[in-house]
Order: sequence, then C-alpha cells, then structure tokens
Amino acid sequence: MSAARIAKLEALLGRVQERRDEPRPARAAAAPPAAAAPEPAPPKPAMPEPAKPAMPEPAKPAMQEPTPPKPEPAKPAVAKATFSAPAKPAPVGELDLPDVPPVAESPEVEDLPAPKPPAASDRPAKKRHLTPLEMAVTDSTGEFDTPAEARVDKADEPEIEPATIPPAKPDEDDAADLAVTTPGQAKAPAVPPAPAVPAAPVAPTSPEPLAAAAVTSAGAVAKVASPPKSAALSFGDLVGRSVALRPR
Amino acid sequence: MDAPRFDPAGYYELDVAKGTVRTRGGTRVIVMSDNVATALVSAAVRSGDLAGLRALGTQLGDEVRAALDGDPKRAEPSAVLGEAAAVLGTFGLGTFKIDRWGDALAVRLEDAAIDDIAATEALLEALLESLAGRAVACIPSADGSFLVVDPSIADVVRGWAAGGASVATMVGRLGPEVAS
Repeated sequence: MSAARIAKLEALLGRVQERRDEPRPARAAAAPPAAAAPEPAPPKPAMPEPAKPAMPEPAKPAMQEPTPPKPEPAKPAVAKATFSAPAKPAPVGELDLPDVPPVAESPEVEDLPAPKPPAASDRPAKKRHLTPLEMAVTDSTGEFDTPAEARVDKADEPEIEPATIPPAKPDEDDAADLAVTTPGQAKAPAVPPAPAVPAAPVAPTSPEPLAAAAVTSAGAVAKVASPPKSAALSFGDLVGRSVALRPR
Repeated sequence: MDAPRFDPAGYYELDVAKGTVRTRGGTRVIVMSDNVATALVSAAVRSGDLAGLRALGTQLGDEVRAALDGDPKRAEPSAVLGEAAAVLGTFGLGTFKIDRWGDALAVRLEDAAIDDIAATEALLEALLESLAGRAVACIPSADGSFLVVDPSIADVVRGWAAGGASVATMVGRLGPEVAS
C-alpha cells in the first residue's frame, strides 16, 4: 500500500470519527471539509482520538473545577453542614426533616463555614447530646435517634407531679368519727377529757426548826432540844433534797 | 435520844510562854475583838476575796467532822447540827440554826459576830459543803436566813431574793425536779 493511499484512508477515518463525535444538531451543519480535520496523526492515532477534549462531556469538566459546589445533590454534605454549625443550636424540627433540600437550592449552604475536621459531622453514626435548649424543646431523653416506637408516650406514663406535700392538718373530725351516731341524730360534740393536773405541792408557810442547841453557859452545851423526827434521814439526805429543788 | 454533847473544856490550849493559842485539833488561832474582825472581813468582801472566809468555814466543818464519829453525811441531822452549832459558838461566831421548809433547808447564824451578808454566805457555804460533801449555794433572804439550793440555780434564786422575796416565797417557787 502506498503512502498516499494510507494518508487518504486516515483522512477518511478522521472524517468518519468527527462525524460520529459531533452532536447531532451540529451534525446538521455543514461538515467541515477534509481540510478541517485534525492534522495528520502519527501512525497510531486511532485509540486516543475519543479522549480528545473536543468531546463536550458534562461530567469531566465539572470534576476538574475547583469550586466546592457540586451540581449533584450531596445529602451527606448538607447534613454535615447543618450539624457542624456551632453558633446556634439547630432546631429539632429541622433535624427531623426527612428530605433535605439540595445544596444548589439552598443559598444558606454557601454561607456556612467549611466543616472542620474534628467536628461531629465526621462521625455521623455517633449519638449527639442535646444542648440544654434542645432538651427543653424536646423531651428529656437527650437522644435524637430513639425510635418512635421505642419511646414511651408521655400520655401513657403515670404523671408524677412534683408538688410539695402539704402539711398534715389535724383531723378535726377524728373524735367525732369515733362517736356512734344514728341517722337523723346530730353528732354530739366530743368533749375532750380534762387534762390531769398534777396536784401542786403545798409550799410550807412556816419553818420547822431542825434542832436547837441551847448554850447555857460558857463551857457547857445543853442537850439538843428537839431530836430529829425522822431518824431515817441523814444530814446528807436533807441537804440533797434541798439541792434537788428546781424553779417551778 | 440525846444528841452528842460538845465539851468546850480544853478546846483551846493556851501557851503564854510561846504566845500561841491552838485548838484541840492543833490549829493555831488568834483572839481578836469583833470590831477588828468585822473590819478585816469587810475589807476582804470589798476586795472580793472571800477565800479567807471560805477557809474558815471549811476549818469549822473539819472540826465538826472530828467531833463526830463518822461521816457527817450519814449522821443524824441533829447530831451534825449540834456539833456544828457548838463549834461555831466556841469560835464566837454566833448561833447556828437550821430550818426545814418542806424539802428545803434554810440556815441562819443568829447574833453573828460578822455582820456582813456576803461573808456569812461564804462561811456557811463552805461549812455545809464540808459537812455534806457536795457543792451548795446559800442564798440570803430578806429575813436573814440563807436558803440552801443547788449552785446551778443560784442566780435565779438570788434574783428572787434581790426582789425582796422571803424564804417562804422562794420556797414556794421551788419544786421537785421534773424529769424531761
């Protein structure tokens, strides 16, 4: 085969390939002549031709773009951005939303700061403790992922009120309840028994001289005039009784 | 039953050569007029030092104990009173008497040589403590008697006495201790 024939075949192959790669609307336009074909390729051009940048594939240019917004909805990314916002506690209602709008439709996503590496967004499976505000909004369990069927309905729980127990009032009808009455008969007022009043000891009004020693003269002491009436009491007992007295 | 007799004969031992007077128990004493004794006692009371009078009361109690056969606490009241009155009389301090107001005791020192209430109070307290073997308080009343009470209620009873209460009034305000 001559070189001229080979060049002709290659040109023909290039035109066929161009027509194949062209979009259909553009294909309707006038096909460039053979002169617009790529320059004559080296001897083995058949394989790399489909990879030429002339192909307007939408995915590959998007992959090469450095901008963070991605055309496809990235649900995990949205969720990460929502949980990693530390400034304000996310309302529980938003967190429980089943469908998350795509990033392209949510202008707030672009304003959110970039997720930090140690943020909890990298650990999606770990349970997150509620902030006090979230706990106040929701129940006190502090768990988001508690299954609805596993949760105890508050209405089914016995309601325990923290009200203080009032002090017990004296039952005024205790005594009346004990009284036996008949229908149509008024209860007789219970008369409390009079408290037993201890008999007040009668205070002595006059002293009783214990003993009187009469000194008749110097050097002689007369007999004790009044011997003790109670021989059982010693002097120590008498003093002890007097010392044991207390003010009434 | 006769009370034990106090024999004052030979109670004092006079040694004119040495210029000493000692009691039967060996205690050295001095003889002075009541005017001098009263002046000394008044000076002690003004200074608040009643230790000398308390020491005298304890000495008198020891004399009574020596005269009795046994412990004065266990002796008959008449015996203790007779000995105490004899000892105080021998010392020339006055006539010692005890009155019973129910369970309360009131002591007196009639015709006392020491005409000072605080001094007499200290003297009688020390004497009774020596005889009874326990702490007591003698609260003076308006009628000259000293009510024997527990020291823990002494201030209360002293307040009654300061208000002019007699022994009968103070005794009427006292009663047996109620167990709480």
